[in-house]
Amino acid sequence: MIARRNILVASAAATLLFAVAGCTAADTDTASGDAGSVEGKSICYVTLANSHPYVTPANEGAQAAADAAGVELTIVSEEFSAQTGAEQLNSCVSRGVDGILLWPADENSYLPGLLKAEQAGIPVVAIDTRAGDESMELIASFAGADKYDQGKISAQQLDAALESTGGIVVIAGQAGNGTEIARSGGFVDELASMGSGLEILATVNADFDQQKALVASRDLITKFGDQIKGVYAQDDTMAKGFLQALEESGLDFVPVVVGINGEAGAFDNIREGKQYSTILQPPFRNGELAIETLISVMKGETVPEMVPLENTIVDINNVDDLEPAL
Amino acid sequence: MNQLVAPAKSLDKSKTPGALFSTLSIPIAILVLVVIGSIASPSFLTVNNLTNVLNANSAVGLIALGMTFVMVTGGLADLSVPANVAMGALVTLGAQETMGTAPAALMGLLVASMGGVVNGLLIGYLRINPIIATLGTGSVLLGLSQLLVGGGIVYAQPSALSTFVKSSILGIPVFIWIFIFVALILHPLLARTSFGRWSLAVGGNYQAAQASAVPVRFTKAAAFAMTGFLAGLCGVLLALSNGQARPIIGTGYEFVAITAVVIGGTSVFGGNGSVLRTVGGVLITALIGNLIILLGFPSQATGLITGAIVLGAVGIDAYFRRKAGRL
Repeated sequence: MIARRNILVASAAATLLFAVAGCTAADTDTASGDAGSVEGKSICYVTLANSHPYVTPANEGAQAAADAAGVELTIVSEEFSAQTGAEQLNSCVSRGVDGILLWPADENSYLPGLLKAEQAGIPVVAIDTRAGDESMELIASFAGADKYDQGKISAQQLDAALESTGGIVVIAGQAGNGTEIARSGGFVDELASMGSGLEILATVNADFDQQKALVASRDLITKFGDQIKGVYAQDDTMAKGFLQALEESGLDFVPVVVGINGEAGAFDNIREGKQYSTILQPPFRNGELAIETLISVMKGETVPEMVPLENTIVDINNVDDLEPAL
Repeated sequence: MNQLVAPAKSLDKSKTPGALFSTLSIPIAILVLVVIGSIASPSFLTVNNLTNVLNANSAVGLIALGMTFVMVTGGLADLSVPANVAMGALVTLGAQETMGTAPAALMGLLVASMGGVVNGLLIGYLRINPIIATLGTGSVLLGLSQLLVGGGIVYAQPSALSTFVKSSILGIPVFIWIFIFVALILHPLLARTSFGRWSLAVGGNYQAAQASAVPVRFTKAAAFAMTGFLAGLCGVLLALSNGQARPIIGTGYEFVAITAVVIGGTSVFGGNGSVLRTVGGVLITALIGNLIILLGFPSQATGLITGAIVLGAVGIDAYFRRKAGRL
């Protein structure tokens, strides 16, 4: 009974939504205003979350870039739910804004909304994460870090530091997570294409969690001991977990540890010589870059399919000149 | 037929296959895993590795000890665990600078315990479905913790307390001592006190327990309050030893705890269970995780294997209960 009533309510809501969308789709000419100035135009930003170590500063960066350009920015948060985000995307289209910035929480949920945006002539730019291929065809550009490239850089760092020889362990993020797939793929592909002599002793998934990385690293150290010449941690939090396990073990060897994200804790460890390097992926800049890209699209300029956020390698040489991302 | 007052005891003492199964399965499983480990890996039977096994789940194991009471009283499960872990951790590190480490840690414990008390009131006194209630309080508390820290990482100041938490006494890490200490309090609490008998009675047959003047509401509420406190303790310990915390710190801990309790043979249907068996469940989950890395299996296999064991354990429990006509 209850289930049936819910379906009724949902379909009523959906009908209403489509009706509203239909109404505003009629006056598309507002979206394609005169090229040149974007001052006074409005952008709707469907962000991943309000409060998250990476997303929050990215949102602040987006706001700053919008303020600088004199654009009115409305931020709505999908709170990690693609379904919520898809509805928010729909209502952004219905409101007839001039541009949409979208943080995709999954590959395909946004397709209907993206189609409507295209019909209404509203340009969409994706931030940080790519959507599925079909969705990306409806998205003008993607502004974010190239996480595949971060995997490649990590492989290069380890290979150079170890002179292409010795055993390494990989502490990966959540299996199947987009970031994990990219960072693993880039790493493995680059090792292969360099013809690196590094040998991957083991790969464990520690879900980007320090405690899980700590527990797994204890076991890795038990099994391999000083055979571990290098460690590729897919974020700095997990690198910290490994270093903790190493310290606990009391063993006297110093592997080359590389991390990603540019966390403050990693900066400290690099200064102390415990961690070799990390990759700075500045979230504030990511937000700025995304809005700047969207504004270029709104002005009718041609933008590349991907506007990469620069990956800055942080090591002992430049650690004191840079600010941690988190 | 004093089954209504102490169903677990009557079941344990009888010589039914179910009782035999639940008494012997844990030691046998541990033995099998240890034998596999010592054959397969030369480093398995070293003091270092065995310490690591004990240490691996000692923090989340605290929550499993509390979750045993939740399940025994028929409260199903506490899904607000990750939020209470996060609250314990974030409040401790957030308040550390202004209050000092020890008071901040107490504050973290207090806040998480209050989360547990709210769960207890909603479930024990207002009789809201535990899954819905703890899902709700969990979302609220996690949201609150995210508001507190703006989503970022909170870093710890170095302190004597965190050095202590990371240290070892007599060669055994403090984490393990704390787990043993809490287990030594909670095991007799469930097995030998009136409160323990109430817990078993409430989970075994709520109406009958109520008719027998058991304080049913209080008993159920107390199980959730205890779990909140222990989740907070887990969070405080992790924050101090890891030196940093973020709101996602306890993600998945509710499932690790439920897994340990269920593998230990405590019934998800309530009315039957033991803290000692949960300790066995914590050990088994830790052994599985350890062996998977030592044997070089892909780490995704952990979920596969523990999940299969959980389903097996619940299935066997349900089978014997149906046979005994208690389901």
